[in-house]
Amino acid sequence: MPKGMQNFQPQFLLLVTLFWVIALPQNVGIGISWVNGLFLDGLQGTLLGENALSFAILAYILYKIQHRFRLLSAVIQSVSIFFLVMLNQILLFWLQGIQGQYVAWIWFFGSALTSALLWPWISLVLTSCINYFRIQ
Amino acid sequence: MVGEHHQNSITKKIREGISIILTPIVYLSHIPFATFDSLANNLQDRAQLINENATLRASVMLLQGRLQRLEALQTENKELRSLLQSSPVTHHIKVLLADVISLQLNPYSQEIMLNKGNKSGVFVGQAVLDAYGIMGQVIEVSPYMSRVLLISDPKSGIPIQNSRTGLHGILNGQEKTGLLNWSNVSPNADVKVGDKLFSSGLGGHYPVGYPVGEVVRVNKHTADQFLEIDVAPSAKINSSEQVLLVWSVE
Repeated sequence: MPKGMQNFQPQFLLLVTLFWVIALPQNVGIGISWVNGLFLDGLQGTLLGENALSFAILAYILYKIQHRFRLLSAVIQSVSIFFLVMLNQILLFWLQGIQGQYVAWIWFFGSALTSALLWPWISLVLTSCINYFRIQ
Repeated sequence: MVGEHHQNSITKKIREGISIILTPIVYLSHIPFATFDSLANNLQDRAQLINENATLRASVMLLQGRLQRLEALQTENKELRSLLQSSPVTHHIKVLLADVISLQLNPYSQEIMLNKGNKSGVFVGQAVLDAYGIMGQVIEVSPYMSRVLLISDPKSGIPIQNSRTGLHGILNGQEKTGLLNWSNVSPNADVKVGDKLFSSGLGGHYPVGYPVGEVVRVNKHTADQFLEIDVAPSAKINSSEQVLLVWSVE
């Protein structure tokens, strides 16, 4: 990835996890989100539980507002995703700051922005997956 | 989280388990890059390949020539050392070629993944080199993968020696610039721009006598107690596709 673009890396795993929390709240909840976050921690080499905690918190928030969230228009959904991913970034940077790591705080808008722009496409692709495989 | 921060053994096992589960995913993600590379190789035309072959042959000749001189110097060094009755320095090393997996997940740390793990004998703390110098050390191993902390990461420190004056020191990584920082050098120390720095082998992690970097900037503030020295790493840290893992054999 070219230098400078890495600050705009979208949170793919987070988006996909949040989509399943919205789409299948009876199957995918806080627990599975936490496990996904733990895998991301293992892959990124960050402190074990860092992403897991923030994934679980976001899944909880989305789980609570799922009925309202589904009624929102695509644009408003993207805006909400922007703020949710921002929250994820803030939690991560907070946790990394406690460990004494360097935090480029100004750049975590970038990742939230690209994630919000990606959300409609991810939800489109995964919704067609649901329809195609007839997932209940 | 607290447990892992304090290097708990249970969390170490959990992490190892996770990386074993994730190994196939990481390898899968590397496939597109690898196929693109092999495609690029296959699509080169004949003239280009002949040209490349010629330059490679020439460079092998040059390197062989230099190696001959090196062997002569090595035996001479051994004789001189025996004359001085000092203990000989062992320079026998074993190396293994590893591929860098093109997967950079965490944009805020300077780490790379290699496609060799403890099934190939890789261990935590092992030094990683490329053709030009030291790149970093292994910080995490699973059976088929390992994670390398590059010397440009702020968490990394490497003991070095100035080849011109013999001055010892430690280089730390710097944020953003990609340069290394030589800190705690007294203001009257003899350091010039262009000085070559080699690993000193103190601390036992890195092997002795490999190029680490070159001094690019020496800042002297009269108010400060120490010099501020920037060092450019010799290794091509961000563009190496293959690296060497080093074992020192006694």
